[in-house]
Amino acid sequence: MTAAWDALAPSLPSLAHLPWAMHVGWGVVMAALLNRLLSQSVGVVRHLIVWVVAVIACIPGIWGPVYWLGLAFQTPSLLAVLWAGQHLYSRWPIAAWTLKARQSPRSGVNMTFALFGVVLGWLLLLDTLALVPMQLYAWGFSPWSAGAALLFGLLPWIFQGMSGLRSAGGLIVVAVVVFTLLRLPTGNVWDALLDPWLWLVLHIYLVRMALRIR
Amino acid sequence: MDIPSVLLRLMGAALLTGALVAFGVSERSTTVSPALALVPISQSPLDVSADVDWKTGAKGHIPMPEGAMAAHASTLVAMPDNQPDALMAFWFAGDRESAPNVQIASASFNRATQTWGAARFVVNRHDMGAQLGFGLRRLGNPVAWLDASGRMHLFVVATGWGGWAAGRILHLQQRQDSQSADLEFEPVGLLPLSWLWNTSFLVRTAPLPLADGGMVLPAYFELGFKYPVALRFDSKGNFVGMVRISNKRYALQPALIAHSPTHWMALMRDTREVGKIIAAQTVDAGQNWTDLPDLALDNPDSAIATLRSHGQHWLVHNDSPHSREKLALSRSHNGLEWSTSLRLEEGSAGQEFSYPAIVQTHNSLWISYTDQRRSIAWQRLDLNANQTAQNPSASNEKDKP
Repeated sequence: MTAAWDALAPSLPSLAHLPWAMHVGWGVVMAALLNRLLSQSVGVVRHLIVWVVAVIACIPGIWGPVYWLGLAFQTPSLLAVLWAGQHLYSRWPIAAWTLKARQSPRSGVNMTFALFGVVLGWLLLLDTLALVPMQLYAWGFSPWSAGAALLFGLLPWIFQGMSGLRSAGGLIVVAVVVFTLLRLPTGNVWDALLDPWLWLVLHIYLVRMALRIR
Repeated sequence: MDIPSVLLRLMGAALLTGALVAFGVSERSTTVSPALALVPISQSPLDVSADVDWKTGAKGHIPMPEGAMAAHASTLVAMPDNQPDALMAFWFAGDRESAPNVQIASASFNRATQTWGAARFVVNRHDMGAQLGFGLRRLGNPVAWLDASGRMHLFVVATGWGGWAAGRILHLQQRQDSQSADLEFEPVGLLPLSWLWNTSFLVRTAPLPLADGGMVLPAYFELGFKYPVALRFDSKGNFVGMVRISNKRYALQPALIAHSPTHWMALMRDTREVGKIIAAQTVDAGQNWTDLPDLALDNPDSAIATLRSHGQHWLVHNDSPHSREKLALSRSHNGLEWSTSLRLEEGSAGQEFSYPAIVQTHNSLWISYTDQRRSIAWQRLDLNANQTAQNPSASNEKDKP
């Protein structure tokens, strides 16, 4: 069994940050999900519904959905929130006025990053069930893991320049920086980069991409 | 590809990464020392003999909070000598196990009156949910610990959607302005233990105190595969890390005993059909664990409690192969070979005396346990009179730092 006590003690997020992080996170994710589901509907109606959902997500306590989503699924990963936010922004009318938005790729994730995400998720799941000898989740508390994740996210920038940052790599970089500053959502970098729902979505994304290629 | 540009950006990425790692390291001010267990040092010659024995000095039931019909999973904490209460008990109570109104109850045993005070609820899932910003479906299995400054910490199982296997460990600490008489808790947060929505780690058994004022909290994973873990905390109650205890997939609720500062054993509940108490050990202060052969003691898939006192290990357990109707105190010198020392309960078929807790105050052992899932029973065990007379120094030994 691998030791996890001979390292530095983990730095955990402040409890004061968690409630608002949960509301913002779930609000953005729910709004993006609805926006996607209603993509065939009239723009004004869709935007209205998305705004209503975002406002509902701000309701604290048992009358708000976040109270129950948090009960079951805790906080979405920073990467899921950023991806959802990027999705919302790219579909927003005002985004069309900016050159940057027009240049943004339609999808925030490319296959390579998705593949890494799927593999990482499987390893973390096996670790949770103690089916692998190493304690991979515990490594996520180390600053070295955050550094490795940052470097990983910067790879497209290293090889492609600024255009590389407009891929999932850019989202990973932002997620790791926010994580380092605020320790959200749990103080573990894996939780900042990948949650089980995002992991499942990445599976679907990969399958769809594979079918398209065939 | 523009090679010089790539190299330049590579250097930039390395610098950014280095800065981020340095910032991350600087945020972690706590350096972790080896986790040396606090092993009671005692001078009594009784400590090395097998003659130490206990007899029941007093027994009864801890008062229940008003209206509570069910009670389960008690834990005990010995209080410092300067406190009016000798010990405190925590358990969960309500209409029934997992009922919506289940809360964490507490009562204290007063030194002056030698009685238990009235029980009251100290943790409510709705209050905690409001402070955390998300719901808690049910509460259970409190484990209490006093940190180096005397502040009470409480670790409670708080479930999400699902049964106990959807549990998470909620860490609470005593509010700075509250005293033991009107104890109030505030949430520190959920312990981050798993990637899978942070389910299904639970806590039940007492911590192992460390020489640095910190402790090792035994816990376990319960979703499908079951395995025990040890969680380390520093002297202020900050979470340090987690280590798996056993490779066996059916071991739950580890109870820790220390042979020396670095040599510990974990004794565990067995969820198999015909179970024995499961054992594992570490010889490097919890960093690496190896499984040992199962003990010869039956375990009917039930919780146990352990304590080191007078140089021996003491174990409270259900010693029938298939039921929880009998409860015994056993002792051992090495943690491997055990003999029954005292029969605590001899129930009839269908009765249940389970989920014990054990703690020492001066020369008494205190044991609490669930009685029929309706109340919490307690017993105070005193040294046999002739042993105390033969060796009065034994009464000066304390297990608390």
